[in-house]
Amino acid sequence: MKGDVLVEFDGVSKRFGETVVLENFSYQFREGNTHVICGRSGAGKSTLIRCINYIEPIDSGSLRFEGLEVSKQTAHEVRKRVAMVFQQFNLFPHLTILKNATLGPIHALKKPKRGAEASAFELLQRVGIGDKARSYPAQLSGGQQQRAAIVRALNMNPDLILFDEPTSALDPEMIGEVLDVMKGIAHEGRSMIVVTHEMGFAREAADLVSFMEDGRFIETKPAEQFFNSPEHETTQRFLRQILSA
Amino acid sequence: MIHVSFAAMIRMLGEGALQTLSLLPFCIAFSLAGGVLLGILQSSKLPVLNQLISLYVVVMRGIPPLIILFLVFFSANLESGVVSAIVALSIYHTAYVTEIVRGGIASIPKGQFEAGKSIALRNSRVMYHIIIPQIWRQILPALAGQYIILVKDTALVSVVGVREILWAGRQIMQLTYDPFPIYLLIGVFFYVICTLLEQLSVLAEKRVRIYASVPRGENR
Repeated sequence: MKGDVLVEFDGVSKRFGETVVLENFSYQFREGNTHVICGRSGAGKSTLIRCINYIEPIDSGSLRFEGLEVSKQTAHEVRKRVAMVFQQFNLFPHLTILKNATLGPIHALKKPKRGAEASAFELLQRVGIGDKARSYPAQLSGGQQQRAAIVRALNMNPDLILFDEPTSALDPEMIGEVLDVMKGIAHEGRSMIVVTHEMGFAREAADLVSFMEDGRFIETKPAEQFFNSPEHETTQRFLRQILSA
Repeated sequence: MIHVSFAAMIRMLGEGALQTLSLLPFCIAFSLAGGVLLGILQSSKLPVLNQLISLYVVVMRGIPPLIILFLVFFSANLESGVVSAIVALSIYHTAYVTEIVRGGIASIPKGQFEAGKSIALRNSRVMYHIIIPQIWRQILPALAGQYIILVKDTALVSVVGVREILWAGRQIMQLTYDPFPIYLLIGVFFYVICTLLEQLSVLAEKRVRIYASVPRGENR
């Protein structure tokens, strides 16, 4: 456990039509942690993190980010401080990688263009695609696209980055390069909440790991304990399945 | 019957053709601006406004453009037939362009909107920077088709006294009493304009395609 409370779910419920995804969900994510959320598909993992930056509005309960109640009115403010990386990358195909990475800083954070571009170049270098700044997304491989999407998120200089299954749409040989970049961010101490099935990443880079099922955290533990001595039977079964696969 | 030389015929028709052509930029500009604006509003799911726009679209779709033209000409008490023509054709075609733009916006993957919001862009900026620039590839063929219809609809506006190509043709006919060659020439004129427009849209499509050489499905 590091730092102050960053994201606070307090009795949050969320449903899609008849389907209840989250019911009375409460949890406090703390600053500086890399928190991995794993679980079967349909457990509510993606929905949970999509509520944090108001991509999904919650139905009831209270959700606070850095003490700010997340709502339609505060969504803009929250999103200036929370970035997101998507499963399908969602880069803007009509814009160069550089423009992708500077759109938010320039038009939302009102940063000068020069500064936004300088930091984008630096970040692109860091993730190993410095030569792709003037390319369009379609000219990049999947792994490069996701790294570019991570740069787009990082260039917002966010207090928290949400990763929504960032490697699930990648060809196997490209997963490593994206995970390496994410490990680098984790080691910097930036707060991250990562929905992923990559247990190797969780073991190596996570501070905390949660197993989620039916809209609840069944078990939350420091990474080492989570893998070595999971308490809950469902967690054990899940780990056996996913690790033997 | 008075003989009119071919050269004179072409000159008279040419003057009318110029008048027809001079209407087009206005109609295209107004209906494009109006259609994009209404299409965006229509996509943003504002309760009352959405229904009003839908009503407008449905009404326009159900009335012949000739009637709109008369309605505008006689209701607005516009002195000028040219202004009436531009207003009527713009109002009429805006409705169709609205639907085309709305469809174009609906075809953009949800992830694009979400990614735009995730970098803290407000809705208007998401539209301006991310969504609208991407719809053209999708809607250009439909848009070109609509503007070809617009060109053909300009054949109506002589009824409110615009001295365009059909009006010029009738002037000649009153001298020669021989409608066939006149209408043939007018037909050729419209055919050329419409074909040019078609070619223009093919060119534009190619240009738009350059940056987005990835199949749509892969970026969903």
